[in-house]
Amino acid sequence: MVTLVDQKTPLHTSRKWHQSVGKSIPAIAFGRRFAGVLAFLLLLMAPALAQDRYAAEERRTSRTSQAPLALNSMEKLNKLISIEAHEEPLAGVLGRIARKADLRLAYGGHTIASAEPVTLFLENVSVAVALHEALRGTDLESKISKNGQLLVARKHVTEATAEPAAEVPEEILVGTIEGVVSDAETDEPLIGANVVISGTTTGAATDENGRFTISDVAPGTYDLQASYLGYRTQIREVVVVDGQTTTVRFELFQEAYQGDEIVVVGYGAQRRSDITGSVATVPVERLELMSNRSLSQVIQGAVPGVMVQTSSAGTTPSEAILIRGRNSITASNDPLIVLDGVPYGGALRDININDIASVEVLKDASAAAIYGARGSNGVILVTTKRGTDGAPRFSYDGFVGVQSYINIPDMMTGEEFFQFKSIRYPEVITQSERDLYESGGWTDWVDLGLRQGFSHQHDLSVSGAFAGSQYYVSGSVLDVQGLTLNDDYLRLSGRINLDTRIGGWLGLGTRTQYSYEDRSGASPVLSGGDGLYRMNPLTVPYDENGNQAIYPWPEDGNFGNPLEPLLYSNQDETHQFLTNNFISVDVPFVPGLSNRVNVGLRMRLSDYANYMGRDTRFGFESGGEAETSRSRTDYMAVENVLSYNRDFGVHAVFGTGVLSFEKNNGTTHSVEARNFPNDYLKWYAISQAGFTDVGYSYNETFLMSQMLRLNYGYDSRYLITLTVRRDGYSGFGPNTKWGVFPSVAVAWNLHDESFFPRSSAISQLKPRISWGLNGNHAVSAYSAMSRLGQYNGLAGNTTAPGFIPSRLGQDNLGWESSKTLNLGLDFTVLKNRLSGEINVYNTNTTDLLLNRSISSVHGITSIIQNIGETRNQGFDVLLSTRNIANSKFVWRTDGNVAYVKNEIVDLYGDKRDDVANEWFIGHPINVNYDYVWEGTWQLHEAEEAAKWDSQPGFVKLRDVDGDGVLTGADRQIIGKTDPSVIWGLTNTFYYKNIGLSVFVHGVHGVTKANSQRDDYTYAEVRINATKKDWWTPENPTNDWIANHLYAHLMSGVEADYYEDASFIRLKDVTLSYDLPNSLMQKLGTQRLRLYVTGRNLATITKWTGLDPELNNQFSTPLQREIGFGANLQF
Amino acid sequence: MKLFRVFLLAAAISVISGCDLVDNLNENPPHLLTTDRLYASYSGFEAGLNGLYAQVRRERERTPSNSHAMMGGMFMSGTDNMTTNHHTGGWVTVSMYWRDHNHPTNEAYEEVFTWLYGIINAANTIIERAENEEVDWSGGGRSPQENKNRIVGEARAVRAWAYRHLMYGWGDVPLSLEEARGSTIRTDWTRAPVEEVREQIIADLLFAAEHVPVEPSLPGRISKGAVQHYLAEMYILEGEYETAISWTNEVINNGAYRLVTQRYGVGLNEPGVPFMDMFKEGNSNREEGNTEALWVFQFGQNIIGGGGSTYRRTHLSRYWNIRIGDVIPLQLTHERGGLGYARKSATKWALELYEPGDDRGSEHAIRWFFVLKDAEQNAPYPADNLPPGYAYGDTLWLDWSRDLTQDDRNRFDWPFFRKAEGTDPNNMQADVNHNDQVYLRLAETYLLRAEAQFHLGRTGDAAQSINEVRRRANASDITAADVTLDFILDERSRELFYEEHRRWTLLRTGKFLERVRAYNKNGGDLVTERDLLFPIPQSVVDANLNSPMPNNPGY
Repeated sequence: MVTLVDQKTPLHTSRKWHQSVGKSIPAIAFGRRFAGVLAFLLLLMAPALAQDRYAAEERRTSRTSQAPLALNSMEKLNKLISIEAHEEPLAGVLGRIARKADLRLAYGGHTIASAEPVTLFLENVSVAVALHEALRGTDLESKISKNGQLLVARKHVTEATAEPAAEVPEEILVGTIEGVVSDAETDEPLIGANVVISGTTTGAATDENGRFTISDVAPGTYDLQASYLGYRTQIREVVVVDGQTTTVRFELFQEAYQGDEIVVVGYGAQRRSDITGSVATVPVERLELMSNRSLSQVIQGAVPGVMVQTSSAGTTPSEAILIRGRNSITASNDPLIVLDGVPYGGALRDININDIASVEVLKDASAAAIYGARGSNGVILVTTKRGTDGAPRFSYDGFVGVQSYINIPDMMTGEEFFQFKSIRYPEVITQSERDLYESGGWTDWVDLGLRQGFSHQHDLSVSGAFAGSQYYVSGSVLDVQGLTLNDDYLRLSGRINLDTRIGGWLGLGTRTQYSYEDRSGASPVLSGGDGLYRMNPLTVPYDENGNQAIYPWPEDGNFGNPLEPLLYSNQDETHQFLTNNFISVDVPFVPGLSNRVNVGLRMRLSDYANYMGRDTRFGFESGGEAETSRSRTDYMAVENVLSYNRDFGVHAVFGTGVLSFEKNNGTTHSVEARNFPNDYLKWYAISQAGFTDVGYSYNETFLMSQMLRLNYGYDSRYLITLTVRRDGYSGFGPNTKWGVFPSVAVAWNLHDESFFPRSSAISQLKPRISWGLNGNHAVSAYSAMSRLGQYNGLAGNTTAPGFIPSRLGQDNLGWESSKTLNLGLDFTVLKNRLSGEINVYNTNTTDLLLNRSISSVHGITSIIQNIGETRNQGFDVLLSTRNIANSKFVWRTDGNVAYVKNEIVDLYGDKRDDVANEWFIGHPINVNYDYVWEGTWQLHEAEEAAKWDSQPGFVKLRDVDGDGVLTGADRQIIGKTDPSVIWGLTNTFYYKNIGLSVFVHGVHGVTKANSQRDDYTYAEVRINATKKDWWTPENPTNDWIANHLYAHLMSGVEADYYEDASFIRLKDVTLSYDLPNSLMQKLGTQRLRLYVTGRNLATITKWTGLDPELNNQFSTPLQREIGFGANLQF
Repeated sequence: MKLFRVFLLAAAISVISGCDLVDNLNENPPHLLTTDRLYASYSGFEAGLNGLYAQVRRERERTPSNSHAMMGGMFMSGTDNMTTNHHTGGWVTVSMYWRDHNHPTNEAYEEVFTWLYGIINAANTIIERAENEEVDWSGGGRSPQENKNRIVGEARAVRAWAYRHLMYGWGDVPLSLEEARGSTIRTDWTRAPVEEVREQIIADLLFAAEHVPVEPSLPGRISKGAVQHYLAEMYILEGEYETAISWTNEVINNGAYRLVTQRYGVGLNEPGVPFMDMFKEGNSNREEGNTEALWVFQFGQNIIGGGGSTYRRTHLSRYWNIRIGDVIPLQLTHERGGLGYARKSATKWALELYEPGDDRGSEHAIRWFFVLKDAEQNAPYPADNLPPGYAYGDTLWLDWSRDLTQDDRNRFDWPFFRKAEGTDPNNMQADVNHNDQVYLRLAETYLLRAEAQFHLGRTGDAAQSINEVRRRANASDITAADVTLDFILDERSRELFYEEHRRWTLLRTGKFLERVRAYNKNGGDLVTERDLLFPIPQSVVDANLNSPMPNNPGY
């Protein structure tokens, strides 16, 4: 006889939050009372657990099999398990015991079929005891066979055997599993689908008819899983009976249907269908398929409405994350990062991407409101991997890449510079410049300072379980040699994640990470007057002995050697220790009530030292110069989370209460020293330096919060979430420290209504609406206080320690708050071929924390205040389509687009603009405000130009008000610096084992000043500039001005040159190949994926500078990376 | 259940301790000084004064935006006796072109405004907080009342000093007399009439004259003499010449302040003239024998609070770029004063003001020539490079035969005043200098008295005042008939070049346009009526949201 249990069925019919977790715990089906407790415990361990188990299953699908048993079978009999059964067939109970013990079960079918149903309630007993109890009252007994199988046979059979358990009893034969795997929607057979017995390497692939056969299976109860690329894995329980063939039919759903995905939502996890707010999940491909170095790279373009601004390149680029545009004018717009449930304030690059299991972005007010004070810029929830059940599983990820620069500023060569200077200001050409020009021996400084980059990364992890605890341990090495000489970066990191349960009601766990960064080595500076780009090319880098010239330009001691940082001794190391721990308790006697305490600790230590010897300009002039600093940051978070989660018939209640406390403390101890007796000991001789200046800085903030959240669901159709959070921040004024942030959200699973036409055309339709208030406290400590700054003078030869007022206090400085109304719709249509999410929102931010420029008549030119109101209106759309999905070829498109319109509603209550701060009512926060570059005065306009003290070839600026003089009133708003539209588009193709992923990213509606469009070369034309098409009488262009010292001025006024900085970038292309199962079985691995990847391959833009994304157009260029990687699991 | 009890206990403890944690929200930074905390005692006020004077000293330090520029450069340059010998950005460009370059958006104006009003706010804070009755004024071996009066007196003197600059430079300016507070940000400043500003200056100076000591309370601070000197200047502006004379007499007749007429101090054994001794490192301070000093700015190298001046760099010529054929002959040496960048040089007229025998025009006071030196003579610096046909000991004369003009500037071989010399002997490339600098001295008081006497028609007395100064420099005596306003201005240039605020002097005497046009060939011809006042910085106009702030006419 054949028993089939469809594991999907209870999930779809009962629609309860906790059962989303129960999916991975088969026990849940058997004991209603305790299953709730168990599921609840697991929920408490969220965010890590639920998503991880889910992710673990996902991984299993493609990685097919598990490693050999680690413990010997006898030891397994001592393993402690809990089991309960109520009037259940013996076969099923034995099967579960065997699975918990990780033993292969073998028995004769007809011996067991006759047994009475079993009722059991056992907690924390050994496997041996459990077996004994299960077999009590039968004529059966259990033994371990030589080959490690658990044998169940009649007592007399074993008694009759001379060597107990030596042989498989005769009547124990083998069975066969066969079946079909097909597409649930189309019924088409899936060819090449993988069907394996969970936890084993036993399995088969489907043939051209979608059929498979697994023979020689020992009788017993198994989890059989079927997986197919682009489809959700399905697991079914099968019972194999000796001599019989069990038939199983798998109907797989395509992955685009996200109905029952488990999503981490902060202080817990929910099934996606139960979520009321806007929560976006970063596709797992972004974590697994690409070689990303930081979380921001993972997120970029992957989630609608989330923008990553790469403002500088290099080995440790600055990448700012902006969710749904800029709300705050001057306070931080950084979203809150929550790592394993605890706010994370460290560097994003310290988190090893390979340790991450999932990334969730909370965008609307309701979702983010649980982090109230911190939520206004959005929340990013990062969950690291959790140990998997079963035998240890090893995983290796390796990557090797080379980087080259895409674009560098087109600077003049020595020859061109000489000609430029000859026109501009011939009198100041120095003899050495002339000599080099004549000899042709000028220098290409950029070429001397840049190189090809190289990077490699290796990650090794092992995860598994022992004695009821799951572990995940990983180690990682990342070594990058950047594009600039000496721009080297090494990161070592290690992680231990542990989860354990004691006594069934107490859970403990840790997420602990250590990372070490080494950025030692000073790199030549690219920007600035004696940076590589702008250094006068008519100079020489080395003296006649081949040493670096201290002054490459003999006539001008103002310029050092751009390469001199290469001679510095430089040490720059950081250690970060991070540990997030939790303990959770199920409160007895109150079903559904539990409490969890999270404690997060983070310590970051940085050690920096630099010495400039006498072979460098700075060291030469100061007699050796050292700078050392050591800083330490301590962070502590303690959270108590009380949850109540229970179903009463069709009513599902999930309440959460949080009390939390966070403390941030930082100190830096630094020494600056000059005038060393010699260069031998570098900074180690700091006590001998003639001059030392010691500094000690300090910073401390506290944040206290209380939060209440109530989720209520009626029949899983009508969902509501109510949240209120109260936060207190130390950096605010005495009476304005606390803020209260409520939110409400409702959602309707319309497709579950009985009146909704059941058709495969629309399988999901879920409208949502949310409103909430979020806060922003992103001002530094002590911002509300009037402060004095140190400003020391001298009396004779004695320091006269002094202070002057440096900062104006603001007693009522308080929370900046954002009200957001979000309308959302989740849908899955066209037979699951198209699914997506649309959100439309309006955010009004009031009491903005503004660093406001004030009249210098105050003696202090800025103050932080709560002022004004801004509005962000926008929408974001996420669409996933399955364009082609047949047995051999899958083409999937995932796209997202976000539009945001940002404007200032009011500033000081009088609807007036603030010109000094360049804030204008009705316009975005960040605009360019300048005189308008209209072109170039042409020869025929000489007369008109003269009225402006100008001449042909000089810049023509617009007299906007037509009053005949250029005044402040002639400045205009020239575009904005934050984009209106950002989008990301990923096309994924799979052909058999070959996958191709192409990610394109676009940013539109940005205007920025291009600093490369500038002929500023210092007084006397001492630095280089980019080549341009200069105006001459023979070349009467309107695009650029003449090569003349004052051609950029009209009536003494100059204006920046603005350009459209929109762009479309081919960001990532990855081509991967998964080794076929047959080959992997021979190699003894579960998965081997090889891939090549390219990043920043092409950019379409009108921008003429270095890169539209970078802030400084004379900085490290953006890099193109081509790499090769491998993922191996065994 | 044992574990559970442990857990309950832990939870209870955490809830209880959580209540205490609320206190943490009240900030109590151990490392920051608040205004309330500092201005509670005499020593706190002293620290406030130190900060104030360190800010005042910035007049001779670099500007935030231009490393070659000196904060107070616009008070002196673009005048009859000083122009640029260079092209550069910043304010120097204004003085070469005036018209369109003299614009409210020039960032130099905002920098100076921010700096001066920052000092005013720091002074206001001291003056206002001193009235707090809780302050513990004891200390320093003097009575609490004396301490308080002196502190307030010095703060008011410095405030007057700052308003003096603003008044001369911008005319009507906002009059801020209260500590700026976060709760009272103003967007409706009005420009007080220049007369009102001057009244405030006089009121502050009168109080200071009563309480500031004759000998500065610390080196670097203002003296009673300096306060009285500025009072005299203000009364000249008021047209109250008798009062002005009596204030100059207070200084001149004090006894503590005397012109330096004899060689002294450092370098006594080297050739020199008495006039130049006070400009040498180690001689500038009153404690070091400079009896003429009324106010000396303090700088120091490799010492906290030492600052750094661009005084030398701004004025000295780029002699190290002089080229003869293919050879750059002159090394940078300490004796030559260090590294110059010549952003502000003397006009040809200013160099030629001296009669033969006037110490102030001698080779000790002005670098007219260099002598080529071998390694021994230049030691520890390298030997000069000999151009073909030259030998060590030869003299390289600098060239002032052609004036600095629009078409002929950036001259490496231009003479310079040796007052500005001074550098770190160990670093010839040092960009700032650290020698103490005479900021105000008695000679100027004599010339101020002459000015007041002249206005009263007492040209004989004026000649006598002027002769006091001339005699010390071995210049010939003048007679009453010689005394004209122009002569006084000439004499001031001879004596006070690169010391006095020449622009202010010319504005005070109403001679700015006439003399700049006559003697400055490098931009002087471009000066217009409008340029008599600087423009209010655009940022100040922009920030005055609720009341339009008119700029000066023509901007």
